[in-house]
Amino acid sequence: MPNRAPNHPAANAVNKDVGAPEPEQAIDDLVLVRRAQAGELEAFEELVRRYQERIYATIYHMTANHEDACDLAQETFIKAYDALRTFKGESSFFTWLYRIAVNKTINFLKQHRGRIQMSLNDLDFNAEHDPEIVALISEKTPRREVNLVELQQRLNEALQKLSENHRLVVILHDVQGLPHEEIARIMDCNVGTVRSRLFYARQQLQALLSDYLK
Amino acid sequence: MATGPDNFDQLRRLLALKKYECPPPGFFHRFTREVMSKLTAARAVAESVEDRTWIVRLWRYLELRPWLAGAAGAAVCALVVGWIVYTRFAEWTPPSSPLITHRVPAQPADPMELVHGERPATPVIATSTNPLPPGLFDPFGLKIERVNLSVSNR
Repeated sequence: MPNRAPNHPAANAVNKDVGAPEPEQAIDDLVLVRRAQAGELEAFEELVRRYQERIYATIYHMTANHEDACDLAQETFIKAYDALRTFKGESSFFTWLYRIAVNKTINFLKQHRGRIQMSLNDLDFNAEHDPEIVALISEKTPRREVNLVELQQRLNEALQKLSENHRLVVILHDVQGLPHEEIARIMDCNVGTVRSRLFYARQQLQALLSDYLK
Repeated sequence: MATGPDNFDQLRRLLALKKYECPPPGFFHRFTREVMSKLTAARAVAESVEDRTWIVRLWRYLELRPWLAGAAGAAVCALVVGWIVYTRFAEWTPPSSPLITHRVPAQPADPMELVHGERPATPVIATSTNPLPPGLFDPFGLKIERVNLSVSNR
């Protein structure tokens, strides 16, 4: 596992709260969107900076492939810019952007079903010090790093066995920390569907990872 | 430990590991730059397509096809040279015999005869110093009569 300095930008990125944006930020987004709609590229650049990590992370966790996630995230922002004129502000920019990313990713996964190879990012230095993760690893194992990497591999393989919709719900809720209501808006379904999908996906994951959850 | 299907605490902890999967250093800085450069390029292309006039469009079309630009340039040069050679040749052509158009009477004719279109007896040489031949503006010798177009009030 690579040892990254704690002040590394990636290290900061992982600790950032990735939930839905605050209401003030949503209003600020709308101002930036209006400026971008008027042709101001700098305003759109600010929106890219604001959401690139969350969009990339969602796509990456869905595909388990860094290169595909990079391409799809770029395409998402380019499509969002092209379609910016159609954005009326009925939903938040965040939700609208997520919908584009999710649709692009699901279409990509359907087109490449069974042909995607995992290309995982390295684990951050801080993972070793997360007490919840440390608790999962046997203290008796001398080579903890190997176990973490192995755990990462198994976790991603298990996620890839879920259907796209079930995987998406788990990622948006359990990894990205989005509330059920926001996920329902992104996936254009009701909250009950989100809850049932989440329950089913967790059950499946628990069965697939039973060796690591004892 | 997972005690039942509803207890997903262990799984939640395991999924927390996903948050620590990070892209390479400097990735997001490059990402923003790449997205913005693609957008700028796309915008420049769109603007050039919308705004360019026909001459600019032709220029850009030829810019992309140098062989066609060369051929067009050679064709224009050939036309110019051809035109110059043609005009020089035309200047040196020896003047032919004067053109005899028709005959005019030896004495100045009665103006009414000219109106009636009678042909002159002596040939007229059409030169820049001779007056205009009769009947030039009245080739059919038409008579001009005044017509009353007033409307009566009955």
